[in-house]
Amino acid sequence: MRKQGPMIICTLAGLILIFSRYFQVGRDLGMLTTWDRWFMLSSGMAIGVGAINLTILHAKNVMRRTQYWQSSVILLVCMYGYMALAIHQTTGAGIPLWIFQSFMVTANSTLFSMVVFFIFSAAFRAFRIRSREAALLGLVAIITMFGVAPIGDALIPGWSGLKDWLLDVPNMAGFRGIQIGAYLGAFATAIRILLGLERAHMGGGGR
Amino acid sequence: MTFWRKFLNMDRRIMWGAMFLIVAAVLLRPIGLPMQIGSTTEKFYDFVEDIPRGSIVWVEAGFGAGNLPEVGPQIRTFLIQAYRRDLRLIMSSTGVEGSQLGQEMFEDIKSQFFPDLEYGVDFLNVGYRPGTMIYARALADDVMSATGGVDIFGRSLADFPLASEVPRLHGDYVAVLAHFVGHDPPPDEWFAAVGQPGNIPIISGTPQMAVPQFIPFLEAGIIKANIPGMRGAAEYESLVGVLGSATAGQDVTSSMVLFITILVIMANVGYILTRKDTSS
Repeated sequence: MRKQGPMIICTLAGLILIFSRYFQVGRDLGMLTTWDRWFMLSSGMAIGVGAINLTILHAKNVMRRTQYWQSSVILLVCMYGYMALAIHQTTGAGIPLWIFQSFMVTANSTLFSMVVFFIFSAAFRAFRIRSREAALLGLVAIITMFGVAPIGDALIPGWSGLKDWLLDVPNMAGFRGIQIGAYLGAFATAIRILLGLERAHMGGGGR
Repeated sequence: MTFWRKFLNMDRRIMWGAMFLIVAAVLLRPIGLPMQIGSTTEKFYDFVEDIPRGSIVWVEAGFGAGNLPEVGPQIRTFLIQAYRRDLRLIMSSTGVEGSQLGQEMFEDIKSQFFPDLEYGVDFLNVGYRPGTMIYARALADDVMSATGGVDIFGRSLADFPLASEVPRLHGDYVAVLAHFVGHDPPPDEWFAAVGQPGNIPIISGTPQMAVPQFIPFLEAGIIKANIPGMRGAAEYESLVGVLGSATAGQDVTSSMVLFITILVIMANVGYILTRKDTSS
């Protein structure tokens, strides 16, 4: 029953959603709106469940003095400290806002900016003309880079038009193919889950 | 051949150091290269210019601090253009950081350009909510219920006149949906939940990395216009006539593109020469 239970819930939920969305009776009853609210409520609760899970995991680390237990202390203090402050003062003002601007925004921007350095050194090693495909990749990358920066048009007027063509024609054709394929794949997976053929999402992997 | 071998095995910290020096030099002494305005950015500008004065625009600020250098100037300039045209804006966010960052941008342009703007009358921020498509669909049904009836500060939406004018996210109440995102989600979710059923045109602003993903939607007419990355933001700043951080970043982008291209070409020359040397 430990396996059948979640499977039955999953199939039932899928069938009810299909009924709510694609059948007039379901639409008239406004069932989709109810399910949407359930989803939003569940999403909110999932954050709560995540917080509890995180607390248990890191509290264990601290109590058992495992490696880097100090980081767990920092995490717990940050999480509950910010939560308490935000409940007391709201997130949009006072100390919570200062913490957000000084730590979160700065740290996130810094981490994202640091990626540029790695992309740079990776490009230096990756764009070697080892094959025709690699040559094509390097050429397209250079055309696009010069097209995005003003220097491309400054050196050769109309250069950005070449970049636009690459994005609008070959890129779009490729992306549309990928997107259509992905949606078809998602549709097939949804049907398999509904029929109970796909069970990987319940853990344990595979069929 | 020792030079080329050394060059090919160059310590990446040398590259990073050179990058840092070039960025610093260009920021201190800008080159000021001329810039052509792209057609999609111009379309975005024209689209906003054509929105009737006094209309309400729904702004989705689904980006984070990591995208701030690219998407930040786009939203900032959009707010300036919108308020020049007396538009009124309601901001939502399906990204945790977007609502707070958007709020700060509003405060910033209010203090710099439009001191008479009033929160709740000209601008309203309903904050972050999870769920993306489900949330968008809930907004299309009932804004009060989807947002829990409170704004980003936890104050009741019923207290703000702007909220009462938009009972649901629909073309009858909202002229345009301006969708500014970091990377995900693509605009198809907002189109399916709000744009198509509510008959609301969608315009967007994205980082350069997300542009290839957005182009099919742009070409299909699902998005009416898009600002692509920092280059697009600089073009938009130029069109609106408020030069900001995106314009300042253009010389840095140009110098970095030139630098990496020179290094890639040199690396390939070195690769070919050392390969021949090895095979002989």
